[in-house]
Amino acid sequence: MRFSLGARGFPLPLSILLFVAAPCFSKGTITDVNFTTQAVTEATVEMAEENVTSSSYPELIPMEVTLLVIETSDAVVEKNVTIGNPASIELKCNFSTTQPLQYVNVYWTKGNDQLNRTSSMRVLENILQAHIRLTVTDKMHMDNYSCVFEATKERKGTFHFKVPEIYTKEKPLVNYERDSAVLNCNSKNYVPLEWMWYTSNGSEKVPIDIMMKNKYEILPSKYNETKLKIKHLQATESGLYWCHAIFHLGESEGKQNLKVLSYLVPLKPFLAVTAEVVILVTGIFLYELYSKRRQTATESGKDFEQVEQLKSEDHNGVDKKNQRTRHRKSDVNMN
Amino acid sequence: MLKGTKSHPYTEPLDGGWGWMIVFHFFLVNMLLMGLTKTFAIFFVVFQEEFGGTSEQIGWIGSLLSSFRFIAAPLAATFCEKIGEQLTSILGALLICTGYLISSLATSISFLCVSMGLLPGLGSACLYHAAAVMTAKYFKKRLALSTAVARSGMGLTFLLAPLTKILIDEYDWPGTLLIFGGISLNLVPSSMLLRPISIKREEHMATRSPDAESPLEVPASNDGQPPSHGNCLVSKDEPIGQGTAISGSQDNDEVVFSNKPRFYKQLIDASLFKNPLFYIFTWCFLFGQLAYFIPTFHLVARAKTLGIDTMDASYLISMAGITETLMQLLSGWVADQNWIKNYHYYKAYLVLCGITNLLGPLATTFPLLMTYSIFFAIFCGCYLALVLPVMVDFAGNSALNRFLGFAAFFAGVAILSGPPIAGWLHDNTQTYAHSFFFSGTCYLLSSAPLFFVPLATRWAKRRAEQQRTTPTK
Repeated sequence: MRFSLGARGFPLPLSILLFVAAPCFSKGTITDVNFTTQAVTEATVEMAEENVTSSSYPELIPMEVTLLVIETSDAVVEKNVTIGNPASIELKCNFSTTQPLQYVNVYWTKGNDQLNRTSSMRVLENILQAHIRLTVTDKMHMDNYSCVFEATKERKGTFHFKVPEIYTKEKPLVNYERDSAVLNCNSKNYVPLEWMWYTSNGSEKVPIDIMMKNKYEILPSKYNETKLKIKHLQATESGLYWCHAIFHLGESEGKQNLKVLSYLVPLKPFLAVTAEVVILVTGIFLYELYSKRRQTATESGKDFEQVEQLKSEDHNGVDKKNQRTRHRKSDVNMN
Repeated sequence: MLKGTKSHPYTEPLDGGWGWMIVFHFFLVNMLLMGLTKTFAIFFVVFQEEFGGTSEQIGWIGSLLSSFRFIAAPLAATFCEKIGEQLTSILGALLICTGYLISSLATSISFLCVSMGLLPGLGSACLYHAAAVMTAKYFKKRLALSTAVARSGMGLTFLLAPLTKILIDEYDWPGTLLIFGGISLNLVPSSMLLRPISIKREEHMATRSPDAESPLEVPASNDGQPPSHGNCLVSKDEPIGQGTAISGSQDNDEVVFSNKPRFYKQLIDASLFKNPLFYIFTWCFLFGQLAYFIPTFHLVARAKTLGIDTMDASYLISMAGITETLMQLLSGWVADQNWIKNYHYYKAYLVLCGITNLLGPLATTFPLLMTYSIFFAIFCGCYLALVLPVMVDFAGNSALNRFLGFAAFFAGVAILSGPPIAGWLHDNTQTYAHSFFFSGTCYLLSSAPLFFVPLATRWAKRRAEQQRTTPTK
């Protein structure tokens, strides 16, 4: 089902909104951008749904991209042009050369084929500007366009038309079993028509059944992002998840790696650290016990020595007394 | 042979030897505590993704963690007195570990507030208090240097941030919290290194209350006398209760036998609040902590507003960190040389910090900002190393436990109000210059009472002598 933005002109409040929001989007490869459907509101979508007829063409956004091609430089000149919605693009190539400009042949190519239209030209001082206006409304129009200048050498500048990129978290998302995980995809300034989620089984992509409400849920979010919530995770659900954004002009995808761990996984380092702590505690405890025992051993050893000393002092005293009595006895005997 | 009793193998401040193991433990404690606070910034982002909630709500967890570390200090002091520093430290480590383990099962922010704010905060208070008090007991002459060496652990926390990021990428936040719990469990064996020590400290600057004399004098005479065989035998038979009386508070052995009302009275001991030096120190500590916070919070933001990019700003911070650590060591060594009293150095550094901060807003280019942050780091490092020695000087003897406890309590209240004040300042003035003015003023305010220390000491001594002479009348 292709949505198409209303064929009628934009309503007044929306125009004001778009006018105000315009300066925000002037970055990247696009210069002088006036398109602002990136800030699509519900009003436009509703309007679009009313007018779904194949005969109404979508409103084309005017875009303008410029490249500078220098004759003397050998460098490859190219630019990526991100187109989110059908647009009418003017491609301009400024060719600077020393040669007289009437001898330069210019033509445009789409892919490998030359375009039949003759290139419009403009001369600004000594720069030859070739420009062409293209209408991009379909996937087939998204190709590489080049402006080719044939002077003394052939020089060209290439415009690569691309669908908007999808941004996801680069690092793998780590979650635990029985937990729930939220996978995020963001298309920044562009609003796709639809988002689709796939899970990859080896090399195949299997779409996710969003109808399983007890397992998968798409969380409400802004139009430029999508959030997939997976409940009751299991270890088998680790792997790559793909989100596809479907635009008017093609599809873009982003991938997110989900890792589901069981609680045992961080438990192993924890137990390792705990074991190390227990070893240290036991070691210090045993050391304290050993040093205390040694201390009490030396103390009791010293006590023993003291007791011995006291005893020996007593003995000495007793011996002296004996000696004195013997002396007296001998004295008495002498007398 | 001054071996004391079996439960307290040492009786004198060692100033070395086993004391360095205490310093090692204190080093690890500082590393863990600073690591907790710094890694929280990384968890902040993860929690915001997981649970939603405003920055304010999640910021509460961090504020609870850092402020509870100080507010719970009186409780930690009580634990130290009741069960000893070793067990308090082990209890603290187990509390932090439990807090982190429970946090890995968290389901909401309020859950996290309790499990990752309150519990680790309480554990940090116990750990820090026990380690600080033990260091003060083990070191007398080299207290400043040993504290500075231990505080250098705070500089090594830059290793923890990349580790946290790797763990979160690998195991997501529940797994990381689990592993952090295991890492904090490592402080249990290092707590076992805190061998109890019983010492009698001489009177320093504060005066003791008169009734402190009697219970302390009796065992003191045992330790003070030259070793003799008789004494050694007697000291072994002494009841262990009396041994603990020396290391704990003076009323400890009374507590063992007394009934409850006496115990509660002892907790909120009036002698601490009668000591004027306590008020002086608490004032300094409070304003110092308040002032320290704000430049560190706002330096990177100010660099951004001046157009300096984040890489250069983080270079600023790492240079400041290294300078601070080195200056702490230098200042500790200088203070230990005992050329002049410690609090004179403290005063000078605080004044210099204040002046640097008042001149801070003049720094508008990267080289000037670098100069400012280096000078700030120099003076800050110098003054941080001296906090504990000055406190020990002011507290004197065994009241150190409660002194540190209550001083930290009031500082914790200041820390709780720090970030909101900083935020309010920024919101109202739209520039960060005023934060530097505020911080400079706080530093100067905090140094002011230190000029009154001699006056206060004289007043306290006179009053103590009066009290001593009145009972004899």
